[in-house]
Order: sequence, then C-alpha cells, then structure tokens
Amino acid sequence: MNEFKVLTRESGNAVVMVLQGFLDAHTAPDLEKTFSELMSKGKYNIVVNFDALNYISSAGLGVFMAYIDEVRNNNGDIKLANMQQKVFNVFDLLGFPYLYEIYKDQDEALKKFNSR
Amino acid sequence: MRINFRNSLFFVAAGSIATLLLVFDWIRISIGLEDPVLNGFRSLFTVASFFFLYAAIRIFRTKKSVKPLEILRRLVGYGFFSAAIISTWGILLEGKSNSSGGFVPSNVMQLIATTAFAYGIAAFVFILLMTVSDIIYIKPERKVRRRFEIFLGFTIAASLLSIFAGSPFLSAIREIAFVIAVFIAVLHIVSMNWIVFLTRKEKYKSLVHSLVLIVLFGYSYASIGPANLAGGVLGFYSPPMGEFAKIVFLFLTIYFSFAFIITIFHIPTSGVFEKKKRELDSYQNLSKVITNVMDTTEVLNNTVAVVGAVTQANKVWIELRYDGDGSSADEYRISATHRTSQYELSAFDFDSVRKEVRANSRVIIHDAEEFGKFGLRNFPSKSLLAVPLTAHEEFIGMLYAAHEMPYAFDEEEISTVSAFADTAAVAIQNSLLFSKSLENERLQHELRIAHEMQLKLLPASLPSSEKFETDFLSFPAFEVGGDYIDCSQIDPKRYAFVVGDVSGKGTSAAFYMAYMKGVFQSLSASAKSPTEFLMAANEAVGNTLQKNFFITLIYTMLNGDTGEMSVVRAGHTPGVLISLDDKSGEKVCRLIRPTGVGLGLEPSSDFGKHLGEERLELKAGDTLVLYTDGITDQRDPAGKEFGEERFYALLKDLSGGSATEIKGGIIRALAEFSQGTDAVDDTTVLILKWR
Repeated sequence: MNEFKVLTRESGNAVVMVLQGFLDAHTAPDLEKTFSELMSKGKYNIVVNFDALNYISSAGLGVFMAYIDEVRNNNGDIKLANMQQKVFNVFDLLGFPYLYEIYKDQDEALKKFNSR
Repeated sequence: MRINFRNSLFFVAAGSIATLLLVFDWIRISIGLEDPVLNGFRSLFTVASFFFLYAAIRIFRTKKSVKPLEILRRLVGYGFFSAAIISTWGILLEGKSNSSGGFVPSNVMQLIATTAFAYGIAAFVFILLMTVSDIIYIKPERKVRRRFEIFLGFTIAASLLSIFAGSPFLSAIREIAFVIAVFIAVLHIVSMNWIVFLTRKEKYKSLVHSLVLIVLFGYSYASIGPANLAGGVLGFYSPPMGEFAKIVFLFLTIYFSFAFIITIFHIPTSGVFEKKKRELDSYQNLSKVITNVMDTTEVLNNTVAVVGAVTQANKVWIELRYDGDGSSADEYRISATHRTSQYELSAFDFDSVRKEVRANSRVIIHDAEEFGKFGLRNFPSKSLLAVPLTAHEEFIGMLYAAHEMPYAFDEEEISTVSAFADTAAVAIQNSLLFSKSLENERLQHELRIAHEMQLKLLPASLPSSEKFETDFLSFPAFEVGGDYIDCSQIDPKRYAFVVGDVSGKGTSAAFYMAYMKGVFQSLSASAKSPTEFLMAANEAVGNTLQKNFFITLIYTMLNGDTGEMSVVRAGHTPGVLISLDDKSGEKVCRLIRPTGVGLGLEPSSDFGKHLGEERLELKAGDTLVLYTDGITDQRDPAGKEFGEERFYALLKDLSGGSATEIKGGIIRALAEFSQGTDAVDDTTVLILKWR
C-alpha cells in the first residue's frame, strides 16, 4: 500500500528526480540507491520534484542529508521543488529552508542551474 | 536358554523311553530275538523318543540369527561335530552282524555306546536342520517356506516308512518319498535370496564356508549309508532316524553345493547390490537426519556425506540462497562441502549452472567441453551433476556432485540424487526455520532487556513546586524508541525541560537517545542560556551522528519563581501554550516556535545563525505542552491521522485540569481515536502547568 517510486530524467545540465508515494524508513533505501547512482555518474546538479510525494518521514529526510555534502563538494546542489503543503511543513519544521533551496516550481530550480 | 519344568519334561520323556529301550534291547540281544513286528513297535518308540528330543532342543534353541554368515559359521561348527562323531564313534563299536547282515551290538558297553551315538547324531541332525532353516527363511518368499515344510513332510514320511522294511510295497513307497524329498531339496536352490544381498567380501567368505559344509555334509552322508558302520549302528537303533539323518545330510550337501555355485554366479553383480544397499542405508541415515536433527550445519554436512557415499562423487557441496534485498541480486553461499572446500570452489562461477538448473531443474555435465559451455573450463572434474534444493516449492539452494570420470552419472544415480535433494531440502529448511525461531526468541529477550534499560533512562518523575506542576507520558512504538524526555534543575530557581526525537526508529534511535541524555545532563548544568545549550549540543551531536541521522529537540528553561521562560527549538515540533485571553477570558492556543534547525544537520557556525530564542512568562492557569510527532501521526483504523488541529483542540478542552488530569485525558483520547491501531512512532508528551 505504501508504495514509493523514484524516476529520473535529464534536463539541461541537471537531473530531475520525481518522487511518488510514501518516503519512509522502508522506502528510503530506494531513494538512496538512486542518489548513489547519480553520484557514480558524476551528476551533481539535482532537482527533486515532490509533487507526487504524499508523505515523508524523518528517515526520508535523512537521505537528502546523507548526500548533500558530497554534492556540494562537487560544485553541485540538491534543490527541492513542488512540495505539497504537508510535506513542506515537515521540511520547514526541521529548518530545511535554511539548508536547501526550496522552490514552488521545478523550472525555477532548473533555471538556477542553467544560468550558472 | 531357558530351563524350566516343561523343557526338562521333554528331556525326561526322551531319556525315560531311551532307558526302557536300552533294557529291552539288552534282553533282545541276549536272547537273540528278531521279530519284525516287535522291531516295528520298538522303532515307533524310538521315533517318540527322538520327537521329545527334538521338542527339547527346539525350546532350548532360542537365539536365532538373521545374518547369513553367522548362520554359516554355526553350521560349520555343528557339521564338524556331527562329522567327528560319525567318524570316531566306530572305535567303540565293533559288533556282530545279524541275520540280514546289519550291525548288532555285542555287549552292554556297545549297546550303551550305540544308544549314545544314535541320540548324539539325532541331536546334531535336529540342530543342523533348525539352523539351516534360519538361512532358508532369510527374506523367504511364501512358496519357499511351504516347500521346506513339504520337504520335511516327505522326509518324515520316508523315515517312518523305513519301519516296515520287510514289506516290498512300503519300501517302494519309501523310495518314492525319498526321491520326492530330494527333488524338493533341489528346488530350494532357486530361491537362495540370502546370497544376493551379501557384499562381495561376504560372498567370498560364504564360498569358503559352503565348500567346508559340502565336504562335512557329503562325508556325513556317505558315512551314514547302510553299508557303513555309522549307518549300520543308526539303522540298528532306529531305522527311521537312520533314514531321516541320511536324507537331511543329503539335502544339506545338495543345498550347499548349489549355494556354492550360485554364490560364484552372483559375485560379478555384488557391486550393483552393494550400491543399492548403500543407497538404502543412506536413505535411512537421511531420514534420521530429517527427523532428529535441528542443527542446520549438521543437516548440511550429513547430506553431502550421504550423497558422497551414494554416488562416490569426488566432490559434493551445497550452496544456499540468500535473498537479495530487491536492489541486489540473490546471493549464494557454499554451506557444506564433502571432499572439496569453499576455497577450491570459490575460484569458479556457477551462475550459468544455477540459471540452467532453475530453468530445467537439473544440470548434467558429462565432459570437458560441456564444462567449457558453462564457463567452468578449468574445473578439476570431468562430470558434474547439479540439482535444485526445493522445499515447499521454494528454491532454497543447490546440491552439486562432481566426479573425476566423464559420463560418471547414470540415470539411476541422477534420480537418486534428485530424490535426496528433495528430502534434504525439507530438512534444511526445517532446521533453518528452527534456528530462526531460536534466534528470534533470543532477540526478543534482548529487546525486552533493552526496553527495560530505556525505561530507566526516562525520568521517574519531573519536578513540581508550589508554583508549577508537571507530568509526562512516553512510550515507544516498538520495544525501544528514539524519543527523549528529561529535566534537570540548574540551580535552586531554574529548571531545564527537554523533549527530543531521534530520526528513525528502533535500536539505532535508542542508542542516540541514550547519547542525547548524556549530552543533556552534562551540558544543561553549565550552559548559561538555552541558545548556548543548543549550540553545544549541536556540536556534540554533529560529530557523532551518521550523516542521515538527526535529532530534533525543544528545550525550555523555566524560572520556577517567576514563571519566566525561554524556549529554543532545533527542528522540533513546536510547543503548545494554552492560556486565558486577558480580554475575552477565552482559552487561546499559541504555538511556541522559535526558528532553529535539527541537531546534526549543519555545522555549529550556521546552526547558531538560524537559531532563535523565544521568551514568555507563564501566568496562573497557563499550560505548556511539549510533544513529539508520534501523537499527531497516530492513525485510526481507517488510516486517518490524529493531526495537529485535533490535538490542539483536545489540549484546550483539557487545560482546565491538573497536569496529571491532562495526561489522563490525552491517553484516553488517543486510545479512543486509535481503537487499537498500532502506533507508528514513539509518543511523548510533557505537560507543565503554572498554578
């Protein structure tokens, strides 16, 4: 029932990662796998689209923390976009807006990468 | 051997008749009486006496054997004694002939010797007959048993008819009965089942024994004929016994002559039967393993040993499958080896063999070329058989047998190994399940201990005073959790309260929770302000946590005299303050949410920049609630969340009561809402009420 899916596609010099469903301790490894694949390919410009993500738990949040240092050390970034209010609240409560750029729309985030 | 009244009675009966006959014989010889009718009656008495002897011996002989070689050994022993008696007793006997040229004792000593000889031979004949019946009855077919009984019937008939030696007609019938008895004896040879099941070595031994028996019995038969002294003596004492002994010795001679020949014929096929026997034995071993052994290693080792014994493969091994966790492929681990080693096998990749086995349920490699096809070019064997281990339709691993000869596995062997694999798979799975349940039990025990340990990390109670009262609840979703609640009195006036939540659940969270308690207890006393405490805590936690872990915390410092309070928050759910509005007098709910990032998410320099501190002053009737999101994430059976709004409304309702009453109200409301739905997260609530 608590399905989780992650799709990636390239867009300019960045990769868009689309999350769907429930991201919790059980599904977090799927997301980790996707991140480490991108790392191994040297893709460090990442936009995460949360549009279809219905739930995120602390373990799900942890995944972004696990890779942010590596990404930024390689002159890349993880930008978050299209969050539902409920999901944004979770990020907001934790102080993620201080740590990540969060956009209403993924195109804004992509523009940031492309303008560099 | 049992000696009781009944047994001795048979002996006494036989002995009494023998004594009477002795007296009668003495009189008979003394007066030279030779009456055929009287002799006939006398013979009947000897038959009765021998019957009692037979009955007595039969009861005494209790220990039957079912091992052919042991029976053969016994036969050799008895045969030797009877041959010895037959050949040596003559020394004592040198009688005169009667009118028809037969033997007649010439004095009392000879008469006694004759009697003793007759009973001695009779005893050995009976024992030999009983012993040979043991070997005939090994794995008998029904007709064999019947044939043997018919043989005995004709033998006895022929013996009894010898009483009437005077009548030519009856003598003719006796001859016919004799021929039939011998004919049936010959028929016996077609079913010497016991020979078939001997091993090669046993067959050689059997040959030697048979040869000795042929000589002994042949000699006995030849010596007991009417023309010989021994035959004459027996014929004098009891013509029926003379006839009986003659037929039995002839039968024994024929029987073992054929046994000898048949054994020779069966020697070439011994290999096949030895193999069958090995398979049967191994099956037996395997079933023992299945029913008795719960130790997986033992089951595995026994299985490879058994397969090794049956197939004479030069290498046998088992690999078990371990499920990949979705992302990674299944893993195979070599779990038992026979005449090979993990080290040797690790040089080869059996992946294509596995694929083939899963597709076609077996792989048989017959020669070097086929090894190449499976990517096993340098494998040090010429044949390989691989079958799946499937228990309850689940593929749990593979069984391999390799042989140093090409084309080493025939159809029969392949089906045997397959059958073995099926049986073994069930045993292996059973033992795995068993050890898993043991392991589970152990882990549950450990978790119970961990649960109790963590309970001790929670405060027994929180401080209260005339000015304020407190209460709290905290329970993990599983045995152990990552919620943290604590309090410390910094100085006589000031108190620090903290509620925290470690990301993730279960054991790892529990360890960080314990660590957090250490951090709080050591830092809260020395920190001058809540902000300073959080900065220090972030420093301590950031160096310790894994990257994907973090801790959220809400920390308040309360002046117990004035109600002044300052609150800092590190990514935690906001505090809830319920107070009465000054103007309207209505209850209002305010969230205490100073800015701040979770501990361990960023370095302290940035962390401090983002950290805000909120000050407030508690007034009489105010209630401050700190909590973790376990309570708002609680779901009802339909999957609906308890949610913040419902929680805030509940707190408003309850805020008129004492801290303990509020706690009770929360627990009741949660129970009512969840209706038994398990909590998904740890739940902690701290209630602080200013009087």
